[in-house]
Amino acid sequence: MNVHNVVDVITGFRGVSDRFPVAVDVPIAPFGRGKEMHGSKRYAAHPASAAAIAVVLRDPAPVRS
Amino acid sequence: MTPSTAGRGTGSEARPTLVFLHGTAGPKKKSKWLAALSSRLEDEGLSGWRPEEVVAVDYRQPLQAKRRRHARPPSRSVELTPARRRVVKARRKQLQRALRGHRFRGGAAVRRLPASTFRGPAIALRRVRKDFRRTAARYLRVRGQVISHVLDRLPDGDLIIIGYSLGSVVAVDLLPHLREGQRVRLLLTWGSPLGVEGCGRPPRAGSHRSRRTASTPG
Repeated sequence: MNVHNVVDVITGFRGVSDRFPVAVDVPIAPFGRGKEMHGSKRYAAHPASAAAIAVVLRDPAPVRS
Repeated sequence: MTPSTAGRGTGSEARPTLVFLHGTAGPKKKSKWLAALSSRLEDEGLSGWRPEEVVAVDYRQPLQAKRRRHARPPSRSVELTPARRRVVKARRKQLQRALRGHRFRGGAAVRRLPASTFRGPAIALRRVRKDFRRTAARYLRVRGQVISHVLDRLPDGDLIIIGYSLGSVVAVDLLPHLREGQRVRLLLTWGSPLGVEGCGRPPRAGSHRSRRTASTPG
């Protein structure tokens, strides 16, 4: 799998890049656990949603000057 | 709704405020999706947000307005400094590591939004499936009202924005208009019409791309 295609960082979004470091999209998909759920709950139950949020919560500032 | 600046503390640093933008069906009980997300966060060894800490903006009223009343608020330009580039690069690596293993049948579970998304939802939305295009057209007519409505209800400080379906379009449209003290630490889109590969270029009939386009929720 091409990791670069999995999640990317928007650097060319002029004007807001400073406050907008990353965008992650969880598309509609037949998941394993949580597939019986519907709507937003289904996406919330996707482990990738929590994993992406956990990255930000664990390390609010990835580079310290 | 009163904007809350209270993040949930994790030691000395306040947590980013979780902001949720609903889809076309309107806001659901946030306790439902929040419980599912909190359960997953607990799997990661972190505590979730309490329902009262989440800012779930209900923008149905401006969305249902019959006519356009005002233009979008002024956008704010921010320079991408070398220091900020380093932060972005480090964050990308962290997310790549954390999300590497997440897949679903037929592809990756998490992917980037197409670059066309960030040239403006008006461009990206031209390529979404036909029935969603009506919703998109309705949104584009009243986007000034919707953005102003949501901006008025967003707190200052660090934000994690989750946009579900149409909410992801609103979230992306909102970004250039954020105030000085508002910083988006993560934009998470769920089932976004902007995330389908058909966005930004015309889907071919019967192609893999057009099938993906057809799976966009409302």
